[in-house]
Amino acid sequence: MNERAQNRVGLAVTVLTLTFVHFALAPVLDSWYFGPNLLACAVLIAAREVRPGTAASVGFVLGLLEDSMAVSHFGLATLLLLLIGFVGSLTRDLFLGEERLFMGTYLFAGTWIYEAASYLLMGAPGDPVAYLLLTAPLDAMATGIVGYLTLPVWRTR
Amino acid sequence: MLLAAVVIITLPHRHQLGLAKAVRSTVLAPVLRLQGGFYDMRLTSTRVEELRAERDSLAERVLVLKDVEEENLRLRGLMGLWERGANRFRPANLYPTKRGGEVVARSFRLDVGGEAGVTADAPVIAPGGLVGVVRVTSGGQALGDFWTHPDFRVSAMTADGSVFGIISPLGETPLLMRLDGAPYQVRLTRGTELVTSGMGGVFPRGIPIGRVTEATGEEAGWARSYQVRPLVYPEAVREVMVLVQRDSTETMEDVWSPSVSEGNADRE
Repeated sequence: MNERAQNRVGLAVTVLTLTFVHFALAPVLDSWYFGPNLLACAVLIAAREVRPGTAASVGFVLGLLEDSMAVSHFGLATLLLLLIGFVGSLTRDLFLGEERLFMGTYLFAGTWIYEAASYLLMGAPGDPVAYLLLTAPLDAMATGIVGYLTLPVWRTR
Repeated sequence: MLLAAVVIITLPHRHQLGLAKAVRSTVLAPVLRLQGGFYDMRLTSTRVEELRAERDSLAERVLVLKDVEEENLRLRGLMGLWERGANRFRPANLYPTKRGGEVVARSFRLDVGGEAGVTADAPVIAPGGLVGVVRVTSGGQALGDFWTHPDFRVSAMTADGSVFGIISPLGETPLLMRLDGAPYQVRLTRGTELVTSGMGGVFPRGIPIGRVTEATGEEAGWARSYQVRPLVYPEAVREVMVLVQRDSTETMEDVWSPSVSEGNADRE
């Protein structure tokens, strides 16, 4: 198996594992004050390795799974993760870096944007400043760390 | 793909729920079963001592109450009364479902569904009081909204039935409620207990909801609003009961022991 194929297999395994853990461990992760958003992490990681259309498809599917767990605002996560995947994939043309620091920052920014957009569009209760400037960045930081730790699994080169 | 996402958002709510149900009962089904297992594992690992003490005290109470229950059933039979609470509820495990962007959980999943007689709009209660309402059911599971959900409304009254109003979540503070539409000529004092009024046909009368903490406003001299501290917090509830036999005229006051309000309604 060549290096590219190995990367693809590693990427698919990573995305599936993150998705599985996101749903299976949701009760544990949700009980923390902040925690990684593994679904956003999976979409952002996939977006760095595939074309925009494929990344959008990954976002669409994972967003649909997320939306299926709630009664209201159905389709919001689908749309947002689709856009995150698409835009994330476009960053491949803007930032060619393979450094881990870049990946951490990219995952942080992507997750923060996703959670902030969800919060604002859902009209979720609570102090917006506290959420946008404290909870969401902490979630994004945790996501960045988890994403950083998964790099050796799917990037063999 | 973008078009498909837009179509999903604009689908009628009924079709959205159908789609969600299909995904949950196929792709997500094994993961959700595991989720329940992880949840129980976490709960038992953190609450072993608490559960052990609870079990011991319950075993003791069961022994004491066995004779009382038999006597109660005999007397109720003689008087032609229904069995208290029996077959009206279905016990369930509740799993909050929090999405990215949510500060507190607004929806939940139950491990019982249509097969167990659970229907949409069924009230969900905990020993402390009102938890929320079921929105959609499928074979072995149901989805519902906590009282924290922005769309949640319940008709409420004081425990003595003198003041009525509508309770909704307090938007800016996610874990508090607001009572609106209370009559202007009556002032509720701090600690007044609020229960469901039975109006609206969803929640039967007498389910505890919360206690008044403070007055928040007046509406042009004809109504008052109050801030209400809930009796049940979404993050703290795991085992619940779902009301499966519903009758618009029934009352649940007999299910909870009569509680005395810390404060009472003072007529001005």
